[in-house]
Amino acid sequence: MAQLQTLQTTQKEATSSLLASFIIALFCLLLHLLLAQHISVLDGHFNFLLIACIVISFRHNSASLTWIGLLLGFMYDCLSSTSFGAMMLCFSLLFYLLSRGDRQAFKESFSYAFVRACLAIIVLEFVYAILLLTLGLDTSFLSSIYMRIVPNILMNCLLMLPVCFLMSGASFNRIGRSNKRANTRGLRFRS
Amino acid sequence: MPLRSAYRNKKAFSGKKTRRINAGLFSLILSCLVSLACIQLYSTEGDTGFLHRVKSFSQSAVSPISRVGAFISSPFRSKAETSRASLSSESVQELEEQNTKLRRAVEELEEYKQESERLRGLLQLSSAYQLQSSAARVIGRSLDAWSRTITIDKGSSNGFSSGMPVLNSYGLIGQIEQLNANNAVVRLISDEKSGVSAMIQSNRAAGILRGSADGSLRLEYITTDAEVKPGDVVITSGMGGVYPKGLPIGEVISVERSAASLYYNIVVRPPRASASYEEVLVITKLNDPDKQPIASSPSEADNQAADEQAGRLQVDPSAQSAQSVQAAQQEGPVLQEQPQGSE
Repeated sequence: MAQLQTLQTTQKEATSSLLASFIIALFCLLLHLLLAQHISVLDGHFNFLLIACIVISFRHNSASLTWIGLLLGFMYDCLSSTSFGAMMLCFSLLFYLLSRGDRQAFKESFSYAFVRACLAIIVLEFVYAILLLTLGLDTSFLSSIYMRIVPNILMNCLLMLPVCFLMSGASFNRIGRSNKRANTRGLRFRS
Repeated sequence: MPLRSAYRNKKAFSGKKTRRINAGLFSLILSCLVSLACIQLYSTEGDTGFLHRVKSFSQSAVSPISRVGAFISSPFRSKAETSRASLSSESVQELEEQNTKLRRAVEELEEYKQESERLRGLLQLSSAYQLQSSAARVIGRSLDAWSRTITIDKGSSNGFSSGMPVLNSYGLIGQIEQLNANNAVVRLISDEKSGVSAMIQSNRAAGILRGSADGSLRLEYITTDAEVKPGDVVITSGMGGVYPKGLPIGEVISVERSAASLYYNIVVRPPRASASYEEVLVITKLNDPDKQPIASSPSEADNQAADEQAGRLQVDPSAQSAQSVQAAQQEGPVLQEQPQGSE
């Protein structure tokens, strides 16, 4: 009986977790649609879907995250002007890489969380650039590094600062110090 | 017993972890394959394919949201553009300096352009009249009101000699009066001591063009039976051999006739009268041997011109009409009494 109850609770949690992830993804997508193309600094653009990546990465296992990444990539490709499938591949890879990290360390240490997020963004941008080059949608890898990749990395790493800060458990006064009160879902100030 | 259960739990846990890793890897491979299939399908299906239609439908579905986003971000975007457009003070100063330099360069180029045009005009004149000439620059002007002269930067060392005609790109301007090794003084045709054998181009009525104290040019000894009107072009007649025939001098601006006089009072204005002379052409040799100067000084040349005027019918009878010939014969004594241009 207790086992059944545990199973039901686990299923409920999984369903609510999926629902929450879906809502988070939708919210980030909306944010992306509203603001991303209109905000440009140094020719770099924000990718608000990366917020969803960081937030959702705490909630599921690697297989679920990979499929969620595929779905997010599909939504991104539907709305962008580039080739269909490019971002699907990149997001799947990104979510998988995030799922492979030490989540406990990610939750406890802001610096670990931030570095992991930045590495994931770098991998995402480079894989995307290589894909575009392979598909013939870009002519020069070197120029795309300077014109697109580097500004995008800078912008998205900047975006990851508050996200990683909120999702990690360090105290807000000193960044990087672990906080034993970090909960399982991230969210620094949630008890 | 506890050790065995711990071992069993650990084994179970590692097995679960391995299954999780395998599931994750499998999902990754599958999602990569799906993505690559989508890429391939999208690139081969054409504009009317399924994925293209999905893309266009979703873009049109979310376009209202994009418009809202554009509306929300427009004040920030305009601020960002303004701040991008506004430059730092250093950049402004740099741009101002660059602007000043460029303006100076443009002014210099304009100057070179005008000089080039003037020199081209001189060259054209030289080639049109088949003159042997040498260009020179004006380096000085007369400072007093009694003489109208200019100084050029070449002299006897450049093959110049006294009496050589001097032109600018518009026509005749004067004659070399004095010179030394490196400079020469040119007496302008507007000087009151100057006299040039000239004629009206349209009716070939010949006379003497003289300067005056006020700098105006007057064409004298044109009889009233010749038809002269303002706008007529005045050219050199070639008489006397000082100036080549046909060089433009100016145009008639006023024609007056007093009741008792046999001649018109004609005022001639050289083209671009107010323009200052900067580059001039000195005729060193006339290719036509008939036009070689026979006077060794300007005063002799002026006297010669007057004498030629008086006896022009004998020298060049074809230049005048019958009526002009009769008038010239009648006025002969008058001419002799006229003060001659002499120094």
